[in-house]
Amino acid sequence: MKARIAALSLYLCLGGAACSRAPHPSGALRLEPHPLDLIVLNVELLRADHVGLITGRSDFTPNIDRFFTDGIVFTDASAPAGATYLSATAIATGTEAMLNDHRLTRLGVAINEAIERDGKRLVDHLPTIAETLRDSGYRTAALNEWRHTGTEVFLDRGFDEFVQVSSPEGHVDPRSEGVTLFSEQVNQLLSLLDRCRGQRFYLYFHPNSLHYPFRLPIERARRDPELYSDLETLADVHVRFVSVHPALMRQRASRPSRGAALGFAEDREQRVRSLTRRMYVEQIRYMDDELGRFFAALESGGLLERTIVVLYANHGIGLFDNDVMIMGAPYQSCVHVPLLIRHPHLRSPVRIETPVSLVDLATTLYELLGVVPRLSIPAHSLIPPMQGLPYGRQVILGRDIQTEFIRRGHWKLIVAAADSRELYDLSRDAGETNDLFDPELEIARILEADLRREKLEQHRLRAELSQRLGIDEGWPADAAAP
Amino acid sequence: MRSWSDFVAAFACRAALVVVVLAPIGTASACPPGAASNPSTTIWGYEFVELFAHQGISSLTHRDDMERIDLTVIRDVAPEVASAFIDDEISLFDSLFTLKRTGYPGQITRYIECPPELRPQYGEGLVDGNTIRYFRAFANANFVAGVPTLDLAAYRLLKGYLFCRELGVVLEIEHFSPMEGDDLGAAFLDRLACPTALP
Repeated sequence: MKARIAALSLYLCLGGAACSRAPHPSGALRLEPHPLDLIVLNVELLRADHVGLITGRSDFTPNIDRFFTDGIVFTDASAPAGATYLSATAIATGTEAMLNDHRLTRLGVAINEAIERDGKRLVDHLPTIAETLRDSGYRTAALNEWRHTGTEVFLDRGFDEFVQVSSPEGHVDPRSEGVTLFSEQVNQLLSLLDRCRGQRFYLYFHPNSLHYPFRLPIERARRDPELYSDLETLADVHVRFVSVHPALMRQRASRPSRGAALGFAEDREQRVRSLTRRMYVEQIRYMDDELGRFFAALESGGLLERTIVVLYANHGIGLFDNDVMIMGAPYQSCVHVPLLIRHPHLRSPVRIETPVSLVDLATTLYELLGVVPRLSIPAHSLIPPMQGLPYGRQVILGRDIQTEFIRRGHWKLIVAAADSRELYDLSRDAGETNDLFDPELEIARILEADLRREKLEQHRLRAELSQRLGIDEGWPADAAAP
Repeated sequence: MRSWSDFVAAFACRAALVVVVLAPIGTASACPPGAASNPSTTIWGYEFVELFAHQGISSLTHRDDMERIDLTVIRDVAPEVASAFIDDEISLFDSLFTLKRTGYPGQITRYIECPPELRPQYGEGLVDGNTIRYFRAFANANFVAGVPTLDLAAYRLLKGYLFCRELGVVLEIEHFSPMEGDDLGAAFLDRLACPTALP
């Protein structure tokens, strides 16, 4: 038995870049710590498989591709959660989403609405990237769209200037007048950039324009009338998909599609899927055009010689893959995201195919900028894989409201609360359509044991950090009792 | 009191070893996957077969005509970590049956809509001075907790978490008994103790 497990462990190891030597990037890299300016673009909902630098097909994002073409491209970056709040908090603090007390994510459903601003949560006391950089003398500014990444969840902390942009909720006609368009956000971002000039700065931009309902300028929407010809059907279907107890995990037994289960005719469902994808792509093209204006301003303003520019996505979007319409699920559609870095001292492009976690971005930025956070939290820098050296992280973890996942190399196990488990070999099945849980049961068990150990480690770390910071999360004794 | 079929099943499982021991991973078998070649141990009067052990975590199972017990043993757990871990697991499970709108357009959550009589019932008890926290629920034919109607309920389920402080061990326990038989959950609870011997 033990020999069998050892053999399987080796098998997993060989399958995972974390155990084997990381593939050499295509360019040599020597990056010394340097107090450069920093711009972070968190283009939430941008899927990695829609970014040309990652796919090799520059269909949708020509401006992003051009701007980062000589930069560092991580082709296999994972968000720590498919849900906004969990992911944003984890990335900003450089901690796993699992560090969140699940009672909070349940009671608050990952949002602060059910929780008073009482400062009892550990995650609200961990230093963010903005706090660390402000403590190090940076001027910090943010333009944030969406309440669940801003003041409501304390992610405005550390910013000298925090501009909150409202965004529509529920179904609206994307062609409506009066809706804040992405172009206006870029204008605001350029204004913020102007106010940052002349001092060491950190500028953070988090748009939410790829969130349904998509918002195109009227003149762009009119280019393809069919896209917006059936808004009533789209609204109806989308509302059903997102609010009618959508079972998160597919049962391993075959069953009708989610649309059929909800009573939609197959042709209608297919039409909605197709339209949704086309609308998403059009929205990306629009965003990319507007980001092109921002990139041009950076290039013409002489900022790029002393500025690191990072682009990533908080999480992706389902687009009906794995029966997930929007986000919050552990599938690759929701957690496989772009991570692109343009560094002024980098002279040739670097492409990294090692699976990495966005949780490690904070530590990496600190090392690149030569700053030290006030609280040391265990993390793994992304700099070694940039240099062709092994990545310190053995497994990649993710958590959402009711699910968790663990990745070791190309193997990925998804565990849902009610004992539903799925196993995928991402090297052969990037779309996660072929569940290998039963035929590869031993691998699944190893990963599940690893997941349990990692969860225990996160609980241990939470207790340790709470003690170091003197934080009592303040739960009454019966809080966890149903 | 163990049933005769209990021993028959255990013997059959051992006999099958001859057939499946060299079979590739995932080969179908009457035994629980991985069970045939593994050591057995007696816990709470039941014979358990170890399915898996890795990183101080063991999975064991007992199966007979009347009961199926899946046991996960997690070793080397500090008390404060165990408490948080169990809180988390209890909360995760319960969230499946708590209708709560997310307030977030597009946020995916799962909700199993059960009539009140099929909703999991939460309970606590003492085992050797340690608190066991558990749910009494119903499971479908695939041993998955949560059924929306009684006709889909194939098993009564007791799903519990026990931290044995003296041993530094967390036990995750799932006990299934068929709907057509007696409810054996309460009697099973009475038999629980912090095991003196674990594989």
